[in-house]
This record gives sequence, structure tokens and C-alpha cells, in this order.
Amino acid sequence: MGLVVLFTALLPTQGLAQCASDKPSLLGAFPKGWGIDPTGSRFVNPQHTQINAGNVGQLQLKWVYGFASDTQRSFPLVTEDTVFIGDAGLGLVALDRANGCERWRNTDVGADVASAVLARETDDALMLVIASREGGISAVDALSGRTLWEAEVEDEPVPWYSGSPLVVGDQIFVPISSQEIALSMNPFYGCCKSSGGMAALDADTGEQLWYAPTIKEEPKVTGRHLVFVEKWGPSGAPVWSAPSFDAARGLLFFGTGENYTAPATETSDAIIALDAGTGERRWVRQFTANDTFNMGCVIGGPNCPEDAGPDLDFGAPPIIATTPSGRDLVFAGQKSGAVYAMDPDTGDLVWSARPGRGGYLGGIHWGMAADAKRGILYVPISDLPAGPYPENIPGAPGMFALDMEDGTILWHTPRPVFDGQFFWPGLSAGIVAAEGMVLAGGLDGMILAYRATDGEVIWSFDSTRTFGSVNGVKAQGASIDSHGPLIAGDAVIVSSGYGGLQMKGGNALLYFELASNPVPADAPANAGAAVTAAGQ
Amino acid sequence: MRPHQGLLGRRLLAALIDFFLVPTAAMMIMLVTGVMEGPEAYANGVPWLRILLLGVAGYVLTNGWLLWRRGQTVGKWLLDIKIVQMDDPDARPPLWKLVGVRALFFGFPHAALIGSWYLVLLDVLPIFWSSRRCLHDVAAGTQVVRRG
Repeated sequence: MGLVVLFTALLPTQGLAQCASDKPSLLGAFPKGWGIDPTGSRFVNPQHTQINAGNVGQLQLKWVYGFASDTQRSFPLVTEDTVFIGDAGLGLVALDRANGCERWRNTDVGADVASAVLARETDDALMLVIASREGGISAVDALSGRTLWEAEVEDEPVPWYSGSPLVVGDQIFVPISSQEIALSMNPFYGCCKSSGGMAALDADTGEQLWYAPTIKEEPKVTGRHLVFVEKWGPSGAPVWSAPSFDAARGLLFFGTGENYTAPATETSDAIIALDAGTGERRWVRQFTANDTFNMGCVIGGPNCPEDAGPDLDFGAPPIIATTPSGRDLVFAGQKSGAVYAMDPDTGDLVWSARPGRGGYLGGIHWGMAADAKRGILYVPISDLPAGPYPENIPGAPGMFALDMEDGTILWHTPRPVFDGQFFWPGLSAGIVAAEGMVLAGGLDGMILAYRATDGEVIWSFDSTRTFGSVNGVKAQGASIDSHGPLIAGDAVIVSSGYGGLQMKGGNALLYFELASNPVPADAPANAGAAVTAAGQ
Repeated sequence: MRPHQGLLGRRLLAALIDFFLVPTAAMMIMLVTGVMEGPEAYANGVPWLRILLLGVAGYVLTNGWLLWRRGQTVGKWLLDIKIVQMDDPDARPPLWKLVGVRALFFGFPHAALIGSWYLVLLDVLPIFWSSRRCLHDVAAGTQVVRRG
């Protein structure tokens, strides 16, 4: 059992943390996208972090910031002295890494900020890019917090900017889903006409360069309900998550979700490869056919398709990686609990495995990670009992390590399920790997570091508590979901609390740092300067 | 009989009747016209104007003839009360006031169905003041009295 030592001196007991300067340093912007790098590996190499399996146990909680919303879904970006993160309910904030004080706040970006914060570096400036779910894409000057431009994708009538964009050179790739998934709950709404898609914007101006819908057919009337309300299709195949970029091939890879309405298309629940320069489609590989589903099905509404499918999206971005044997593969994890490895040139299936049972909240929900040097694909499984799932297969919440070459399970560390638990212990959030370890957050609020070689938990922290915060907001830790933890330099940054869907809401941004003076494992429980978790 | 005697209970009951009738009519209009049926109605996050106008249309459809001929809504007709000019209790207000001003407020009950319930309260609460006039009465320069 790990020693959890509560320290209080560094956490202010009164007043707000003050910044010495409101100007962030622009040096050392990291990471390079939701996937940490454009390939989506979610692996932080030693060039970007000192944290590894040998010292993760020396992480100490340095400060806590209280978000304005209990459903936080932004992924931070750091420079050498600042954390930039979307604060759902407020906007985009720049926090001092030393004490969490607020350097600046941008409220132009909207209160529904929902993506990773991305960076575009130029000679003398740093531009931040972020998406808000309904508002679109915003570019913000990192030094001043001033909005540079705002952009929306015009090709879809009610787009949702739910997935994180990706900045590559002078282009910003923007995944597009649709608000129609929620509008379908309204019985007077005629579901549905929109398609998911991928857009490319000019990074200097926000001007749209191209748009590639996942459904090319025009929707047609397919029936009526309540006498007058017209049903439309095909629709859907939304892109819920960030694309991954293969620089060698000039290709973007991304996953799609279900069709909202019939007729189903061959592009739903699929992995799609596009030419990043033109948006031209190179290949499509569908894994679940005829999956038509919308939120009308959840409430038994008239917009639910007659033969509703299991809603088995690809919520996790694909990973493009080279295996130890030298083969390039695209890895994709589905809400069904299945993992697929594909040939990046053709989309042909190379191997598949099914470590999870699946369900409409995963299975594999937000993201996997790959350590290409070790040849390990880390697969977090949630298996939250939700929606139609095969009841003859037991849920398998926990962490799996798969051999990148052939999908063989190298190890599996289950999360125990027991009565009285804070919440289901599934690993739904995106994970992040570093040298010799992988870090995950559970829906039960636990933060867990697993050793790469055998899956042993080498550090853990229970975030389900109330924290004093540097901004005076009561900060509550709860379910960890959505983008998951970030490892950067000597820090680990985790948003705890996610009130979306069925999870437990909370609003704590936890900033951990490697201890400069490592705490002995047998230290007394009140002997230090921060809320600290030592190794197990 | 004093014009305000027993008026409060009748007005509230009449408002309750109209509260159900107007949204019902608005929903029928919505179904037939399909104005809230497609994504364009929700584009830019502002479906409110269409919803408010549906409320006005529902109000006019339900009460237009009665307002024109008798200065009453269906609820007021059932409860035997009517709308008159504030400065002349014997004069029926012009139709433009009854529809063009009061009906805008009666879009609120429809909007209440989608979450803006506080607008209804804002309109109705002044009826508890001594003048027994709602906000829409004040705006239109009208009052409600017992008939006969």
C-alpha cells in the first residue's frame, strides 16, 4: 500500500497565488499535439521528460487549480514556466508552473473549450490553437493571451469541434463531428443530415483550405414520424478525435463513429487515410458495418433507427509507429474493446486482438500509447457496463500491453471491481507513456503508473478528495476521463473530475512534480510541503 | 361590481389555460411547417428567435379571432374577463396592441418549455401588485377587468 503524505505548507490556506509576471516564457512548448507527437504515439521520450519508471514514485503534488466546470475536457500545453489549459466554464488560462497563479485568461475562446491546447512556433512568437465544442477554432497569442483569429468550418450546419485539432507546419487539421447526435433526442427534430469530416485550415489566418466529409452522398428523406417530421440519411460517421500524421507518406489517419441514421455507409466505425495536402481519400477500412445509432436511442425516441447498432466508434486516435522489426503499422483501438493493426499504405489488416469486452463508452475509449523501442502497444480498457455489450463476456477493466508485431498480450494488470467503490475502475481516459512506464487515470479517480516490463503498479495516487486550490475555488477530484494525464519535463498534470455521461464530476487540476529532495517511503504523514504520494 | 373584484384567481386560471393552449398550438405549427426540424434552425447556437416567433404564432392562432372580436383570449373567455384600455375601461384596445405587443410576451410560455421559465415569472409577477397588471399589460397600456 502506498504511503500518501499530506503536506500543506505549499498550498495556500488563504488568498490567491500571485504571479511575478503575467508574461509566459515561450520556450520549450510541449507537447506537439494530443498524441504528444503528430504520430499519436502518446510516448514522451527522455528528451522531453526526466520522469521514468525509476523515479515516478518521487512525484509530489505541488499545487491544485480549481476549474469552473465539473466536466473538464482540455489537455494542457506547457512551456518552461507556464501551463496553458482550457478551463471549461471560463476560457483559456495560462498558469505559472511554479505556483499555479494565473498569468492571463482568454474568455473569447468560449466556455466550452474541449480540446488539447496546440502550439505553432514562429521565429519570435508562439500561437496557441484550441477548439471549443460549438464555437470553433481559436488562435491565441501565448505571450499576451490576445485572440489572433477565430474560425468555423462552414460545410456542416451544426458542427461539433469535439476532437483535438493537429498543427502540422502551416496547416491545422480539424476533426468535425455534429450536434445532430444530441439534437436527435428531440422528437420534433428530423434526424439527420450532417456528415463528419476533416478540415484543413491555414494556420496564419484560419482560412479553410479544404474539407473532406466522411459521407459524400447527399442525404435524402427516408421516412417520417409524428406524421410530419421527415427523417434523413445517410448521416453521421463523425470524427470524434484528433488525426495522426504520417510525415513520410504525407497521410492523415483518423477514426470515425457510427452512422446517425440509415442507410449505413462504408465509412462509419472506420479508419480513414487522407492525403494531408489535398484531403483526397486514400483508403477506408471499416470494422463495424451497419452501425446506425443516435442519442434518440438512449431515450427511446422516434429518431432512433429501426435496427439500431451498438455505437462502436473509434474514439481513440490511431497511432502510426514502426515496430522493432522495422514494419510501419497503424494501430487503432475501438469502443468494442478490439485493437487493429493495419498497413499504412493500403489499410489491409495485419493483426487484431480483443482485450476488452466493449460497450458504448468503451472498450477502448479515448486513447492508447505506443513504446516503439520496446515494441509495446499499451491498451487501456474501460469496459464500463453501458449500452449493448456481450453479457457472456466479463468486463476486463485494466491495462494491457500488446506486442506491436502480432498483438500477443505481453501482460495484463486488471483493475479490481468491488462493492463500495467510488466508481467503476475502468481506464477510459487517454494514457501517456514514458521510459519504462505508462501512466493512466481511472474512472474511479486513481492515477496509476505501470511498469513496462511486467505491468506492476509502481506508483498510484487517489485523487477522489477535496483539495485547497491556488485560485480559491474548491477543487474536487473524481473520475478521470477524456484526455488523461500529461508527462512533461519533471511534471505530471492531470485533470480529475469528469461529469459527462455517467461519470463522477469534479474540477481539480493536479500538478505533480518530481521531488527535489525525495521523500523516504516511511516518512511521517504530515512532514512536508505538498500533497504527496510516494511509491507503493 | 368593482372591476378588480375576484380578478386575481380568474386571471391566474385563465393564464394557466392559455399556458397550455399556446404551446400546444405552437407545437402544431412547428410540426406542420418544420421550422425546427432541420439543422439550419440550430445553426450558430441561436434557435431562440424561431422558438419565440412560434410562441407568437401559437398565440395568434389560438386567440386571434377572440382578441379581434371581443378583446379576450380563450382563457379569459372561459373565465369571463376581458382586456380593455388602461385609460378607458369601456374601450377595447386596438388589435395591433393586443397582438403586436401582448403577443410578444405570450411567446414566453412557449419558451418556458425549453428552459426560459424565468421570463414567464418576470411577466406575471407584477400581477400581485395593487394594480393587478402583468408586465404585458404595462407594455401595451391595457388592463384586465371582469366582463359585464
